[in-house]
Amino acid sequence: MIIDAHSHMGPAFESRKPYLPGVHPDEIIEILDAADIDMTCLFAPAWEGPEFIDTEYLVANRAIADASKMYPDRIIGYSRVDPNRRQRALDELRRGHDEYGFRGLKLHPLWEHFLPNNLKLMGPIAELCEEYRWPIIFHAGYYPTCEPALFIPLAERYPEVNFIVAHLGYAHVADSIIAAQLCRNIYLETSGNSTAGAINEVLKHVDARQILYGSDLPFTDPNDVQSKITLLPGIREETRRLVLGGNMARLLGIDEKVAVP
Amino acid sequence: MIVVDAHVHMGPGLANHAAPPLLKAETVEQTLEIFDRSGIDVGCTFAPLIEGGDFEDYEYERSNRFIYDAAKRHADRFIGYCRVNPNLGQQALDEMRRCKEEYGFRGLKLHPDWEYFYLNGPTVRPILDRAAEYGWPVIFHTGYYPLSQPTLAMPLAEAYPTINFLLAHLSYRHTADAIVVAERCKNVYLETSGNATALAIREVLKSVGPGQLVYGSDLPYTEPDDVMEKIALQPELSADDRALILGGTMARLLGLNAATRSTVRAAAQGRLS
Repeated sequence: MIIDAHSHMGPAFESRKPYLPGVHPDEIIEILDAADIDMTCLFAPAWEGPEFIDTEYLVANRAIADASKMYPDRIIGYSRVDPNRRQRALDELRRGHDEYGFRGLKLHPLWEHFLPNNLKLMGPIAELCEEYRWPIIFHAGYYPTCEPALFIPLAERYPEVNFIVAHLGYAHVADSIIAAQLCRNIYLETSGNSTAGAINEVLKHVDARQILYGSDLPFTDPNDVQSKITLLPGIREETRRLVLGGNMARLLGIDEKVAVP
Repeated sequence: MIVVDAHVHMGPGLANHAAPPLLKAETVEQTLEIFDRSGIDVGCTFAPLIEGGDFEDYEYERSNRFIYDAAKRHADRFIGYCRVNPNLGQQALDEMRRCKEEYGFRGLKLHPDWEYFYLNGPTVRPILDRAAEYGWPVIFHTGYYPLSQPTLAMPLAEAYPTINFLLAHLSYRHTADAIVVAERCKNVYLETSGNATALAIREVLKSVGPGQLVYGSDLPYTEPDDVMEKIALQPELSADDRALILGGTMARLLGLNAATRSTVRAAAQGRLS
């Protein structure tokens, strides 16, 4: 079973064209089919004006909710919020859980501009995610708000929450490896410009159960990321199964045998 | 000699930061106290970034208004700069107009990382068209990958030759790139605030020269005396060049004329004595 841990869809793409189309749920399903992806964790892209202004992700989250209702066996909806909005961010998380049936949260420390190790700001959000049993996927890799080391204090403070470091932390892969070695609840996700060499390096040093396939579609072609994993020389079948979907299924409580279409 | 600080933050948003700044500049009085004891005659003053929570001002409307009130009361000390989020499109343009026509502001601060746009991205163009119309200098936060590397300012400086661009913080760890940009574009000025080291300042002086280097402190996040000291310590820097860096060049960019200068100095000295 293949689960993509990182994908985007939303009205923001009407004006800001990514690599592949991603405004309508049908377009997402088409991409999933073309890459043999069974299910995908789907969330809003960063909003960028001025054509589409949605500073609190209210419109974008609703679009994700609609998509996951349309394709419940393919699309796993994630919420997106700006933690700086404090109570309103918590309200939107609650709406995502109670009304939209979301199952995870995406945060972008650069775009929403906060430090992930600001436990005062992150505390209430992490506590709610713990209650909902939601994983939190963080954009990672840019100085000065998204370095992988900044996730360590959060992961240690909230051991029951699973934190996903997207893009293997880009240029900071070596730091990501240390974070994942220190914290069993930190997972490294392969999307973006990760090279096959970086993925190989991570597999050498990090437990395969902490590595997740993600594509960042429609900014990238998911086939491209998948082949970097499947073509790794000497990769074990069990490792490939875990990375491509087994780990994400475990995190989300999805029964692989039942879910396979 | 006039000392103009090209990079000053002030306003109620500072009280709301998760990590408190080094100094206190939430009020006009606190800021003037820093100016006076550091010998700053005039500060190009703008809002800090807004972190939400107790002080919500995503559109910078209240923050700009605060700067206006300060500049109205102390026209000899504060030069008001506008702050907007280019992603907000028409709202940003409307706020710029208010800052120009009602507030009499004289410059613009933009932060690609905080407001999330590529420094040379499409949303910034309408904002710069307007800044060119107003004759405003534009100070960019620079230095962070992937949104605010100084190289991204090069196409803008070439597309807007009438705008004077300031690259704040000597672009942090990208000082070498900032030097390339300033060498090529005479309307680009490198500003010393933040963690710029004395060595980085020296590199700029050697490669670009004193004419495109301006003093800025980023107070209250840093100690202005510290930044001034790094300039004072530069070997072989003439008194004239030092005066240019500390305020002469900024006074020229802002059109502070001789009369203004002497008024400001007299006012500042009166306050200091």
